Amino acid sequence: MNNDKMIEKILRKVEKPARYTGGELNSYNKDINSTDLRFLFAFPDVYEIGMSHLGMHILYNMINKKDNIWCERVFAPWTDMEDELRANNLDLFALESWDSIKEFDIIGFTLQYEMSYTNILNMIDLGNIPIKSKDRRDEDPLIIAGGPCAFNPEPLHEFIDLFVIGEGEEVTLELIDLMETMKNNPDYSKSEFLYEASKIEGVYVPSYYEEVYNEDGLIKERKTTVENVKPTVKKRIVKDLTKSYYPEKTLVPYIETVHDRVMVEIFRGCTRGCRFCQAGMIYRPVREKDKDTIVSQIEELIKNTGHEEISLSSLSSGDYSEIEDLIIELLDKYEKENINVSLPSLRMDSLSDKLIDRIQSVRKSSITFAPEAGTQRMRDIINKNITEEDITGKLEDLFNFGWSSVKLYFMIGLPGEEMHDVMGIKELTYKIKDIFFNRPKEKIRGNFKLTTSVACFVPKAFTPFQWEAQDDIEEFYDKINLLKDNIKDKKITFNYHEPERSFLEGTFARGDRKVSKVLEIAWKKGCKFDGWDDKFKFDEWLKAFSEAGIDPEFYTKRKRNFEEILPWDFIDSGVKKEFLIKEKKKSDQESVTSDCRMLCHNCGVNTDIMKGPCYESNS
Amino acid sequence: MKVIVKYKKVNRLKYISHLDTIRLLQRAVRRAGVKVSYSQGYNPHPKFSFAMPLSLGLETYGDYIEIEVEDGENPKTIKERMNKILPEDFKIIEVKESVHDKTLAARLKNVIYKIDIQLDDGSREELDEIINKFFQEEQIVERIKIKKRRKKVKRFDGRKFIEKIEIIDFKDKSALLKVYGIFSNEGALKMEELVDVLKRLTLKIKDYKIVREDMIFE
Repeated sequence: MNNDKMIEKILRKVEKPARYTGGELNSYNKDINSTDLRFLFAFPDVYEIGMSHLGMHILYNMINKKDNIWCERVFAPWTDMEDELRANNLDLFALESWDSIKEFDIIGFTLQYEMSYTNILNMIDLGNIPIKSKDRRDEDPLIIAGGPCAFNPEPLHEFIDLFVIGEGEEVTLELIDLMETMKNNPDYSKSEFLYEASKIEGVYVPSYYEEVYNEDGLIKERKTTVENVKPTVKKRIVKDLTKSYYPEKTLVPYIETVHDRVMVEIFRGCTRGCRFCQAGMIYRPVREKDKDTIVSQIEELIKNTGHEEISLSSLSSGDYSEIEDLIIELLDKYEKENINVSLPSLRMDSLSDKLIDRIQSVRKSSITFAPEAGTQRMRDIINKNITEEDITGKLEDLFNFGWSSVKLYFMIGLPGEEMHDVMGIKELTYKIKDIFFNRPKEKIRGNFKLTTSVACFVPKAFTPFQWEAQDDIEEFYDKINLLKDNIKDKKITFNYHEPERSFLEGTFARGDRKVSKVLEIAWKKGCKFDGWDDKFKFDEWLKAFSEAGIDPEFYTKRKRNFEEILPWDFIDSGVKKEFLIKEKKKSDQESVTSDCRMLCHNCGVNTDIMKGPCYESNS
Repeated sequence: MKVIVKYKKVNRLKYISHLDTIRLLQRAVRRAGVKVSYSQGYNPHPKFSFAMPLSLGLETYGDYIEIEVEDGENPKTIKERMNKILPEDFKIIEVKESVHDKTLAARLKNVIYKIDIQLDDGSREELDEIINKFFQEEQIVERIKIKKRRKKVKRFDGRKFIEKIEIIDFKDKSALLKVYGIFSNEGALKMEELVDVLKRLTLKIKDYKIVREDMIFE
C-alpha cells in the first residue's frame, strides 16, 4: 500500500525528485470519486525523455478532456528511486495522484525504441502486477501498448494484453469508450473485453494467435486460437490532420527535459522513401496540417505554456509544402517577443536562398544534417536522394551566412556497403571542413566545429531492407576503427553508436515470439535502461540468449528469402509487400525512386488505408 | 522600474530546484503578460535577481525576487495576473515597487525559519535551557565542502549566524520554533546544521520539518 508520507520520505533521498512529483502546469487533477475510468500513460524511460515525447502530450490532453476519465502519467523510475521503492515496499506510483499503478483500469505503454522493453517489465513488476498477461487477474489493470515498435509486437506478446497498431488518437478513445460501457456490467471480465476490443480496427490481441515454427526455427504458419478473429490487423491512421485533435495546452515541466518547448506537428508521413527508414514507411501516407491551423495552434500553446521556444515537428519538416511562408510568418510574429523559432532539420536540397536570407538574423546554433552515407553509390542504394553538390553547396551558403558548427549523421552497415563507402564518410567530412576554410579569409568567421556521428544500421520491419542481414559486431567495429584511425583532426569530433546495442536492437526489431523469453530472462538478470551507456549489460544479455537456447544471429545475421513468413506479416501497414520487394530489387541495382510528391509509386497506402489518392488530395 | 515579488513555494513544488524556479517564473511572467525587461546579448533572458536560493526539499512562505519590468507595467496588477496562471503550490504573496539601488541579496539581513520538532522526550523548560545554552557558548559547526574533488572542512561558530530562537508553541512533545537567521557577507547557517547543534546540546529530536517563513531586509 502506498501512502503519501512514505513517498515524501523517499523523495528526499532520490536524485531529481521532481521527476516523480507531478503537479506541473497544465497537469490534471481529478477526484477519483467522480471519475469512471482511470487511464495511465506509461513511458518506459525517464521523465526527462518521456516529457519530450509529443505523442504523450496529445493523448494525455485528449483523454483528460473527458471529465469522467482521468489520465495520469508514469515514467521509468531511475535506479535510485527503484531501490527506495523496493526497500520500502512501495508500489510504483502515478505522478498526479501518487496512487499505485495497480489502481488503474488501463495502463498504456508507448513503444518508441526496442531498448526500453526491459523497463516495461520492470515497471509492471514495480506496480506489484504480474508481468505476464496470463498471470494477471480481472482486477489487475489491462496493459496495452502502441507506438512505432508495435509494428513488430511479437517480442512482447506475453506481457501486453492488447496492442494498438498505427496512430493512437482514435483507437485509444474507442477502447476507453468500450471499457467504460463494459466495466459497469456486473459480470465484466477482462477476457470478454479483449474479445470485443479485438473487433476494433487496429487492435491486436496476441493471445488469440499462435506462431507455429518449422524445425529450422522459421515460421511455418500463424494460427488463430479463437474463432472469428481477424487474420490480419490493419493499422489505423488519422485521416485529416487539420481537423484531428491537437492540445491547446501542454504540460510544462519544472525540471529540464530533453525538449522543453512548444511542439506543433505540421504533417505526418514522409514522401522521400528512404529505404532504411521504418518511420517513412509505416507513417504513410503524408498528411499535412493546414498552415493557418498550425499558426493558431502555436499561438494558443504559447499563451498557455509560456514556453520560450517553438519547434515544428514532422519526419522531414523541410518538405512541408508551405514551409518557407510558415517559418517567415513565425519569425515575424515571435522574434520581438524573444521567442525562439527552432528551425526544423531542413533538407539541404529544399532550402531556398530566400529562407536562408531571412534566418540570418536568428541565433546560429549548429546545423544538423544527415547525409546517411558517404558515397553517392550508397545514397542511391538507400534512396537518399541528395547529391554531394546538394550538400556542399548549401553548406557553403550557410557558412557564408555565419554558421560555423555542423553535425553530420551517417550509418554504417548498410546493404551492399564496401570499405571504400565507409571511407567515403571520412572524405565527405573532410571535404566539408575544407569548404569552410577554403573560403576567402575575410569570410571565415566563428569557431569551426564539425561532429560526425555514425550509427550502426539495424534493418527494420516494413522496410525494403527487412530481409537483409545485419552486420555483426566485428564488422561494425572494423568499420568504426577504420574511421577512427582516419579521422584525426582537431576540428572534427567522431562519435559512434555501440555495435553491441545495435546488435541487440536487431534481435528485437525483427524478433518473433521466441525472443520474449530472452527479454524475461535478461530483465530477471537485472537488465534495464539498456539505452543508457552506464546501465547497458551486454554480457548479461548474451547469457540470457544462451539460457533461452536462442541464437541471436538467427535474427540479425540471417538474410531472409522473400517467401519467408515474417513475424509481422499479419500486420497490414498499407504498404504492400510487392512494393517493398520492388524497392529492394531497385536498391540492388543502385537505382533510385523519386519522391512520391512527384509521382505515385503505388506503394498501396492510397488504396488500402487512405482509400483515395494520398498526397494529391491534400495539395 | 524594479519590483520586489514575495512568493510561497510549498507542497510538491518544494522538490524543484533554484534553477527550476527561475524557469517557472520566466514562463509565468510571459503567460501573465508581465512586460519584463530582457538582458541584451546572444541569449536574452528576463532580469531576475533572487534574495537567497532555497535548497531543494524546503518549503517557503516568504521568498523574494526582484524583477526589472518595462516602464508601462503596472505593479498593482502583477500579483493578480500572475496568481491566475500560477500553480496552487506556487503563489505570489505581495508585489512592491523597489526604491533601492542595492540588490535584494545585498540588503538581506535576516532569514526567518520555522522548525516543527517532534521530541522523544523533554519539557518546555528543558528546551528553553538548551536554547539559552546555545547563545552562551561557542557552537562549533563543521561544514564539509568538496572543491575540485578535495574535501575541505570549514569550522566556524554557528552562534554568530543566529539572532534569536523563539518557542512559539509547545505541547505533547512537539515544539514549534521560530528562528531568526543572520545573513551576512560571511554567509548563513543552514537549518539542518542548527538542528545538529541542538541535538548535540542534548535535545532529543525524533523528527523535524523546516519551513522558510520570511526575510527581513535593511
